[in-house]
Amino acid sequence: MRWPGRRTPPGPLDYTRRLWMQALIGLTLLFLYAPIAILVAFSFNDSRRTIVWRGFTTDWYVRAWENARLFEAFTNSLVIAAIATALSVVIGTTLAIALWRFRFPGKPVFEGLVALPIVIPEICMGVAMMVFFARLDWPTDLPWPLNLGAITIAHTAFCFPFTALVVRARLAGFDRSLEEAAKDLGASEWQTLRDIILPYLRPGILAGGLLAFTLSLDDFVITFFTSGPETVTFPVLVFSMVRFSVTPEVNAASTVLIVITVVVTVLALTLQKPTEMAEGRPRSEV
Amino acid sequence: MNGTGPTIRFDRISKWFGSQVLAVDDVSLDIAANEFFALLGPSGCGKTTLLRILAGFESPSSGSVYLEGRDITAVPPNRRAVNMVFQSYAVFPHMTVGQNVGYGLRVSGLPRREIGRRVEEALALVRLPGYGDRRPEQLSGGQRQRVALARALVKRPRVLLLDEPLSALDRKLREDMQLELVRLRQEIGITFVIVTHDQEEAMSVAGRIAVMESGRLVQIGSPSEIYEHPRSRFVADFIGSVNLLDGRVTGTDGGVTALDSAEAGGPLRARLNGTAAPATGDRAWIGIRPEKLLVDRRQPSREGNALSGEVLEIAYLGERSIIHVRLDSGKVLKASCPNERRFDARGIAAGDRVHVSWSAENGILLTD
Repeated sequence: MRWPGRRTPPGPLDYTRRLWMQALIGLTLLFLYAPIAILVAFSFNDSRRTIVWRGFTTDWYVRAWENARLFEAFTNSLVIAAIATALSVVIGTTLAIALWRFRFPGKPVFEGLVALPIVIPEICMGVAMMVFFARLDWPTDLPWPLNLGAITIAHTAFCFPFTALVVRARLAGFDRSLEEAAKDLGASEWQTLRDIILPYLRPGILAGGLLAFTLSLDDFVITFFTSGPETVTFPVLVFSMVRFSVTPEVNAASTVLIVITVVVTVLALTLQKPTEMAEGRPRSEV
Repeated sequence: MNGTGPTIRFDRISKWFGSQVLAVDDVSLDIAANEFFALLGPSGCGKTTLLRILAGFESPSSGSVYLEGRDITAVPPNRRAVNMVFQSYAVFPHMTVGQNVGYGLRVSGLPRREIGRRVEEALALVRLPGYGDRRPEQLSGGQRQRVALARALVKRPRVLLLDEPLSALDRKLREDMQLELVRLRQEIGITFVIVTHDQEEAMSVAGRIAVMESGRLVQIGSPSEIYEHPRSRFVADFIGSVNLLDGRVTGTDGGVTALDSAEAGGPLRARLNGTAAPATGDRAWIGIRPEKLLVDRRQPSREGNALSGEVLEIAYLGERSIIHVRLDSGKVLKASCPNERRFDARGIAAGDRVHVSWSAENGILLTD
């Protein structure tokens, strides 16, 4: 029975109906998204300064588009991210499969070594990369896109361990009898890899690739140390631009970047869905 | 095909895992053509390892495997004319039913048209016609099982291996599938080897059963031989249930061995069945299947063994009841009595004094 004029009190697990919890959730979301919301909002602000709202305009997007240097940096970032992602996916997946499949002497040491880039401070990686490329006398005056070589290599080096990590996590849940079934039906090692293991790994490879892409796209520290004097990426350029002042142009370009990242993520997640569903265990017997 | 020899021959197979675990211990076994053969035993007895050695997923530490007279010990699994149905079915989740069934034909490079025809054929064989475009997640457990069967059979193997194929199905479906397996084997006429820990399953499908215990073969025979003439207490106890009475041999006369049993509180007699008479003074057991025991309030008039005791409890199971009787020695016997009438005509209740009897033929003399 209910008390007249009173709602039922929240149940033990009805956290979302408790005021303090609602407040906490609200604050968390505010803390996370308010800066981004402001960044996006002010990219449409009809004023040079970014603190006062003067009215709506899409002018800054046009200006950003026409800013040759900004455009170049943006393209550079996307190209580097795309190549580094492709390389990371290939190296990371191969590595994950090798570590899962084979036993060899020194395996624990090898495992630790390939995971090292994940824990090494980025600044150290950056300096090391700079010294490395200087020692090699890596040419800095190559034509585009070869001038992005050093940065791409550096990005691949710190991205592929993440890809390998994600793919390995996926492999851990692999039912070995699927592999045995394929061989039992006459498939060779390669056919088993191509037809059974890789399709199973697809969501992991996709997620690992996505991770590599976003890591590469917004990397500043390592890029800063490995970019030549003439090559610039989006994060590095934004950094040099905001040293003078934050212009709505930067806001506009950043908004475009956010949209690209969100679209890529949503796309990847949608592509992943059908395979995830296929994993359901046998349902109730009919 | 070798007309006379066995289809499968295990020749002194042993398998060590590491240096500690001996999974299969010197097993020699022949399986004839067109046989439905079951490897039966508790988990960890080595039956699955033996099956995996036959499929090629494990290589024996010593010994050889022959398929139709050819030594296949070193042949990798993808080149063996045997196919397997896995316990988890191992239906490829990213392929349709048709792609699953056709996979084995695809990797062996058959033309697409031929694959399509044979896939349809195989699906019809397992009674899933027209299911080719379904996805595995749309199927029930029983249907996945059939897909796994079709996928193995479409390769037209010499031998079909089944690794606990029905353990994940519920009881009704399992019984249907057992009949289905028997029908399938008769229809296509190849050798089936099934691994199971479920004695009922083994008995309902197989023509011959090998019982395994800790890596060794302990008895091979038809279901009725294994059930009615177990050679050891392990087999008697593992296949079905059995009452064991401990005793010492006092002598054998006219094919009937007499035992002095403290548990029975007196002498017992069991007819030998082609087995050698045990020496007087040896320890032996008499095993009696619960359904061979007669429980009655009246003193039994017939010849045989009769013991008296008190009814401990009666478990009603529908088609039969299990009556637990505590003998005067304290030993509890289980008797399985069919419920032939709707109203209890036995007139036996817990606490009643009863007589438990069985004939000398129905007691199994066990010395191991």
